[in-house]
Amino acid sequence: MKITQGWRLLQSGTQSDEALVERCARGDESAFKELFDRHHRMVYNLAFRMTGNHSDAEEIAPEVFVKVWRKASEFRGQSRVSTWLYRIAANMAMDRMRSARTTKEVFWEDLAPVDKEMPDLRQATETPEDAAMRREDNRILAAAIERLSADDRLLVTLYHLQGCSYAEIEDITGISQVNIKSKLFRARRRLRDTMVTTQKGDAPDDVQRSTTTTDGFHFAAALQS
Amino acid sequence: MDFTLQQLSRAETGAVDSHLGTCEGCRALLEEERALGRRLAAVPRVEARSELWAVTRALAMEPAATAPVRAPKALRRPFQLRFPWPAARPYAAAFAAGVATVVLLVAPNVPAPEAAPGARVIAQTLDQARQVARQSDDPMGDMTDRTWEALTVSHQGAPGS
Repeated sequence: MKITQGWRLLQSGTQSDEALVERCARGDESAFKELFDRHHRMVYNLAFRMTGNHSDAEEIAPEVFVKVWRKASEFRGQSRVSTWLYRIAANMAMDRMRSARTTKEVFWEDLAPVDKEMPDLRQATETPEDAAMRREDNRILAAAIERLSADDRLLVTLYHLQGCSYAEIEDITGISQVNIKSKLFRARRRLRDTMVTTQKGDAPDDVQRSTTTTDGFHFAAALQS
Repeated sequence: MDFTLQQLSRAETGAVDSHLGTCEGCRALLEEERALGRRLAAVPRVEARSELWAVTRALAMEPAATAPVRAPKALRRPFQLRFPWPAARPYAAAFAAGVATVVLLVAPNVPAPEAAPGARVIAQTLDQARQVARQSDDPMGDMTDRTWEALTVSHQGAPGS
């Protein structure tokens, strides 16, 4: 933990994540609740962006925290608690994606509201036309991300959508930072190519409709505002 | 991307800068990278349902799931102990049945089981294979069972049986 983070925690009277995990290992339910409050958005968003639907994310997120609660005594502190949580969530989401057999579609009407802590300020000032254009841009981006492989989607999600550093992603995935950079570069190039093709109208029907499913998943909802 | 995130050293940044000054293609590529990075960074977060904590707590406070009940090792058949991989058992059984079939086809005049120790061994092997296959979860178990029935009928109908 950085010194500034530690000082901030000391000033605010809050405990570190590591201390909360230690208390979880002793069966302290209030520590578990505190840990959940701090990290459930991050875990939920990762699961949602990987699987592309709320029902899977609502199953994965509790499972992640249940695992943390039950395995708290085994946490050795070799990585940050948030990294540990990400690793569990990423593994569960990848397992879910690999084992998926059925096609799932997320309808635009079912999209979740934007996080209240991070409101999208553009919405307050933009015209209906701008909003429609932004939604269309997001739809195209979502469809392009959806067509990435599961591994590439995980890297793009962690780096670009969740804001993890290369070092954190290395801890989470076990992929070296050099490989992460090259894989991300190639994934972005694929994203751009797919988006350009879609905008030209040459994309397959599934991309244009944006209800497509690759590996049985739909990513569009994650990007909708 | 390192360049766009200003993660390069001063010397590296200078080298890239000087190249960008002369290469239109790289400038365009860099701008595309930056634009895509901005679009991805602008993707909003989603909010979980408020019931998520209640669900999580309920699951966490449940007793841990117990492991599937299995017979103690002492109660398991010795034959199973020699085949510790459950998935391999039906194949072993099928192999034994195949060997028995070949023996029966190549030597149709095998004496009756009660008169020939070799036939008794085959019958015992098939019986053992059938038992193992039945105890297995693998769908092959059923197939081996049917093979056994067919073999039994053909063996009973064979000359000298």
